[in-house]
Amino acid sequence: MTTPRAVITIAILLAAAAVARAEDWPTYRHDNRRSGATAETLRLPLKQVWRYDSPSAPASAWAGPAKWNAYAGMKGLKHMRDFDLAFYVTAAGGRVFFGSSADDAAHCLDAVTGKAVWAFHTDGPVRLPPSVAGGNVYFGSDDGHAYCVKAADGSPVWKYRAAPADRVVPSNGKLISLWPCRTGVLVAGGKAYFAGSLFPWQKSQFCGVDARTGKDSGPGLFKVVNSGQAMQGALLASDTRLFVLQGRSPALVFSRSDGKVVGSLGGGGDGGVHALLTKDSQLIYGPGSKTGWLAMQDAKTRTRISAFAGASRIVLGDKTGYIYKPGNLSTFKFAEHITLNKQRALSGKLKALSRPPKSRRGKKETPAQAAKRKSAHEVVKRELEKVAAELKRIKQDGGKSFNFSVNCPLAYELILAGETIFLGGDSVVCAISARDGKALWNAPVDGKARGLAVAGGRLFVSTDKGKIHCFAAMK
Amino acid sequence: MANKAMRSRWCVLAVVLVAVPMVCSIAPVRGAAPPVHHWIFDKDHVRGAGVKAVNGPDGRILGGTQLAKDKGPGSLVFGGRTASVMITAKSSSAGLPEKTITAEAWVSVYRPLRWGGIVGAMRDNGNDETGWLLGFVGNKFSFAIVTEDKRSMTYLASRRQFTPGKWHHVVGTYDGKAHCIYVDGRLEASDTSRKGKLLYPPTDTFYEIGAYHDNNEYNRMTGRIHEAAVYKRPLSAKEILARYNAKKDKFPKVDPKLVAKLKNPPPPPAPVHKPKPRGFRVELGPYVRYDAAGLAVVCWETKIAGPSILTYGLEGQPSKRVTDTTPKKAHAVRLEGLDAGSVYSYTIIVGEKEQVDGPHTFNTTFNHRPASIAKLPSPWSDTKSHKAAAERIIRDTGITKGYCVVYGFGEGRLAYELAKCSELIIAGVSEDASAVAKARKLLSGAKLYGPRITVRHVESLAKLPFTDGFANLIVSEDILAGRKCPGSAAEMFRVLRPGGTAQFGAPRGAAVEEWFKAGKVASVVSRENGWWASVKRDELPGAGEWTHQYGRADNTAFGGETLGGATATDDLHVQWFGRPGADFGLDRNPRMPAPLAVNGRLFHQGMNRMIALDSHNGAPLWTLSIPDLRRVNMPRDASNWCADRDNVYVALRNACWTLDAYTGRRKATAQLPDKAKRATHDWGYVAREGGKLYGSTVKAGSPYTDFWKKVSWYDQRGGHGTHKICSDGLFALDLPSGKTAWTYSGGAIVNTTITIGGGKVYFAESRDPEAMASLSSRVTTGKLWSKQFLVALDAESGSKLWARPLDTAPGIVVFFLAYTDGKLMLVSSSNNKYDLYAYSAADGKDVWHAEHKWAANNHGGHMQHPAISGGAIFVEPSGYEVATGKRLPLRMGGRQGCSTRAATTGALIYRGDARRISMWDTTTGKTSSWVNLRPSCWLSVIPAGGMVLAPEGGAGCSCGNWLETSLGFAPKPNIKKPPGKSKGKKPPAPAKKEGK
Repeated sequence: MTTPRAVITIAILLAAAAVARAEDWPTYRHDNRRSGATAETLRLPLKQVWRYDSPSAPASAWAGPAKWNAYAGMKGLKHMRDFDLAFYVTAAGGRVFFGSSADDAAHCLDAVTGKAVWAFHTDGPVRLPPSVAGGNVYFGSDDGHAYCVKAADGSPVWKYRAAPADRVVPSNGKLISLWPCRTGVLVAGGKAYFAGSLFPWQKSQFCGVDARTGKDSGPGLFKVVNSGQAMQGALLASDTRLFVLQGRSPALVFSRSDGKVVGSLGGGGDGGVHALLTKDSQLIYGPGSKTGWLAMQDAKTRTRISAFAGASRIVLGDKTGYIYKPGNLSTFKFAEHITLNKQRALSGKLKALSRPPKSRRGKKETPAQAAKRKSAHEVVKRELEKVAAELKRIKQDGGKSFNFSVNCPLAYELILAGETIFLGGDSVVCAISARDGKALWNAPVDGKARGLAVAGGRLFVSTDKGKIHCFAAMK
Repeated sequence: MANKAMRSRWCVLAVVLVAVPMVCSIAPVRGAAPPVHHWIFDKDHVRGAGVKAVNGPDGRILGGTQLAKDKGPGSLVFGGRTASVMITAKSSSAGLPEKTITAEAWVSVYRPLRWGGIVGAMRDNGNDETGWLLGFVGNKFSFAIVTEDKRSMTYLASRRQFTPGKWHHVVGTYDGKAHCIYVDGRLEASDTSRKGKLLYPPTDTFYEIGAYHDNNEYNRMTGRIHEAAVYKRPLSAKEILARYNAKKDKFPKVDPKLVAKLKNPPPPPAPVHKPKPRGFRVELGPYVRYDAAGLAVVCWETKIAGPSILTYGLEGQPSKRVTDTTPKKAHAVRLEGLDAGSVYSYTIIVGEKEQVDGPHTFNTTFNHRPASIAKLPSPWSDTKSHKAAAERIIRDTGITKGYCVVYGFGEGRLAYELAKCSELIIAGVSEDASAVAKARKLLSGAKLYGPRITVRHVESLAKLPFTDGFANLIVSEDILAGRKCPGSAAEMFRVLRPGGTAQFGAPRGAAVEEWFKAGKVASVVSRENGWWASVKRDELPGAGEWTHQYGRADNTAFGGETLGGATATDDLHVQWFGRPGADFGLDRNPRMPAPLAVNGRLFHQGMNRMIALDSHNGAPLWTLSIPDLRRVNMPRDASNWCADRDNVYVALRNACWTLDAYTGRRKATAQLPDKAKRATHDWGYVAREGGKLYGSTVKAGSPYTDFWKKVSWYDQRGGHGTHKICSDGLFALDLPSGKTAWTYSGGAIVNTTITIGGGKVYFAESRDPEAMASLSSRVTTGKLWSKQFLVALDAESGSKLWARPLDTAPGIVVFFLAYTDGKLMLVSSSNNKYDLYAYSAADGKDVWHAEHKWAANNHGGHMQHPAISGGAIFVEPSGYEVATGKRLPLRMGGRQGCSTRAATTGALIYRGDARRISMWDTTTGKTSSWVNLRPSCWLSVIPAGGMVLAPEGGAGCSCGNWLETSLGFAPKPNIKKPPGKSKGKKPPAPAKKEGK
């Protein structure tokens, strides 16, 4: 009897260890889908173990949003280009990395002590956090270049000019390229992707280079020049596509294999630089040009699935989605939400196909057109049946989904670490149970907590004052 | 905005009478269920502002209305402007019909409306069309519905027109399949295109009687309503006829006198503008200036010396109180340790009675003063010689702000000392990569690297990656240290800003002289306390100025700018960009004063604040937050500011402040000459010309300041928003003494016509007693257009040179005057056309007159200000020769959006292609534009200083895409079209030296 019990105990311990395993946070919002979710669980409560104080606060690229749309009587317009309001961190291998818009450098700190390990200066602000892969650190700079340096000591590996030309102009107290690299550098499949871009009336350059060497020739590597684009904010990637945000314009989709434009995601009013990509390639992004929403677009069909009005942040758990709207955190069943929307769209389509289209200028539907319509009707009907079955399955599959809605203070950032939600607020960071929304822990921070990351048993909080707080479990 | 064009697509007007009985008899009669909502407007049901419902929710009368006093069934009189009956603003709670409906009313409409409402709950906003409405479209009754099958409204209109003033029984029904309208018991029209349930707005709308009301339109009817009812079932044709017959004889027959009166209604009395009384205000100010990072200084003046007291705190939390008991009249309270990016409110407390002025607000986001590094320890033990050099450079050049290039960075000692004693942003360049790395490490370690000092490695100092002409100051540590002269003087000079200075101190003077010579740069050498060479770059040839609202005081919308021959957006490239951004402004909507640019500086107004930038590099020079600054609706008023090479003049309440253009400090305050008017009047017009400051007096509180909602877009074609601000006095002050040179009064002077040119002051004034006696200087009476005169005064003495009666088309929409080449050009807009009149400036005699139709009657198409350049006057869509009035064979580039135009010698800058900032080449007729860049709704992009300057003015539009940033564009080198090729004016004579 003892043996089986011991086996069970060991199994439980192993499972627990697996759940609580330390993970990296190697790129902005953890991964190339910018999920903001890690499997790592921190043992609460946490205490601050160090704080890094930048001599200067972040110097953001763009001013804040208009106070209102006075013409329309609309207040509360949202910032659509706020990708650099804090020194967001990435963390891997016991090191913490961040880019600075104040001193134009990528920095590396020791994750345990917070002490500076190295700094690599560029000729312009580094606005997005570095990506860490294969022992190297990748980042872009307003000087119009993408950089790769060694994670160990910051020594240069390669430097690539993302800007199609050398032209440096004054901007907000800095001298920067007219094609700053404000997409950061996304590393996937051995390749590094980034863009040099700013104003849509000038040509932008979108690059996919060998992550190891920085070379742009070879299979799957490219350097593409396009007009009409304003690429900025962290890139996202699925297996076949790259998603490029544009601030005040709708996001773009590119082919990962050759960098060619596939199309845009969204229409007038869409835009923003907060985005996440679901496992099924739905891009959720916003806040749009009005009072704030997160629009969910199907990257395959490039159609809008739904919009979460008023939402500023979403993070997806295994079965449960967590949605933050100013003052409130609530859950939703993500798979069910998608499927219901799919069902709604198909029902509309089916209805439209169920009768001849309204005759235009007296022209009636021809027999051929009728046959085509009926055939399409059948296809949609079958699709709808599948979706209905899928919905049934989702509803029956109880799984581990949670359901709550709780009042929350103002939050700027939301991440999920195991079964804990961390919210970055005004001078405070707090932890909430992802199961039931109960408040678990909080701690003061200096400034607005705009960046959160969990890695290696630590929580890192970046504020708008240029501070980075590190919290770890109390011993 | 409601999409009226789309609406017509769904407007069903055709009636197939044959099908009518068939279609509408489909609806079964399901018994005699009474109306769910039922109101009768008679003395039994109307009590004061309350309407007691027969069934359903009670109503509330909005505005002034009353029960009719004549014979017949009781009815409520709706005046067309202010009255309606609100059932509820929360339509979702009203229990409205969902599947089927009947809306019924006894109504007498006096005046047809394009979109009129009798009873309904609807929204009709293009992509948001929901609900239903029994109303009228023009002079036909209509019943509009939206159902779940389609998110657009189908307006089903009656076949016959109604008779204004006659009582009609109007019924609309919908049974889920058929949609019908009946008038006086007869089926008038039907439609079967709509199916399913009625579709209501996802959020609430208004359920209202006597109005067509949604979230952006509010049209109230003129007429009477006796009864309104709503059923959850479709009434049958039989029931409707029975209901009509039951009451038809009770109503009085139509009164022919009333009908005649309605056909020719008397003009509504002109609304009188009553200026709002101001509460207690301090004698001058308050205003906020930013003297250092984290510091705001609140300034104000009081009549009597007293302590300085104010309360302040983060907006809504004025928890701190500052008291300085030292009695004084000029107060300046320093608020230190303020959070960045935060809105603070403050209130000033004056006198024993503790009278309060405020609360006012300021936003530290706009404190652009750099953090001081004076207290940070030097990374070097000895920098005495560099300190001395830095102090001398600052003393000699007077340059303390903007960008400084250290050409040959050395170790960074000179950069450090310069940063310490100035607000300069210092960018070093060096060919020595290891020295750069070392300097970066050293300066970072001392917390000095980044915001104030940076250094970059360049392959060759003879080829810098920088744009031309941006650096205010160029120095060299390498030269100071006696090392080899770096790069080339020519390349150094290339990046020096017009008006900027390069100054080099050197132990090896001869070598530096050679260096200058080799670069063909002429320097001035001083041997006082060492060997120093300096060079100051001249202003760009052909550069213009924009010192007044429309370029210069001549109102031509042309400041003499040649743009180096650039006539298309591709001829220009970005010279700088950045703040101010979207958060600075008020909104693009209310047609604010234009920015100004002169002497290398750009001045721009935002939400009760102003900023000065270096026009060559965008560096902020200063910002002021002034609660009284706001003035809008420039098409109907004069601007509140102007500038010269050294000062900015701002009209604020009853005074005009002179601000130092480089520091923003208030140097002087000019008062209205007439002491009696100081308590009752504001300073209106302001101009600076030939040694004088010109001003005018308007009654206090008259200028437009409202900016909220569409009504404050000021795009109207008459009535509110188009009333002109008129001065009752004009004067000139001698500068710098501020003494009164002359004053003039004689009529209601239309501010938009005050023009200075050729040594004269011109304006149009009405001497009609009613116009002159207006309670407010916002003259609403039509008498403004009678007894009008065009007047010329001698600008120096104010003596009247001539006056002539004016008999122009009334400038109901806009009325502008400009001076050019000995002529006065008057542009009047009303009645779908522009009238252009040319008069001799010498004696006021007629020269020519032309007229043409508006290109559009909205979005500014009807209110364009003339742009005059190269002997031509342009008023959309036509141009004329100034000399002859001959129409030019051209059609101006199409304008999209609501701004007006600014001219260079070869192009007009305006809002064109896809509503972007565009340029129209006056010679080739080609239009070009910058993608996703928009101006304000009036004039926010100006050509001056050899550049196109576009401080952010377009923000607030929630339609997306717009870049919302400030930019400066400079001509690309080697533009193929040489300056002067276009038919524009010759460049003006080079002005004096540029500012710092």
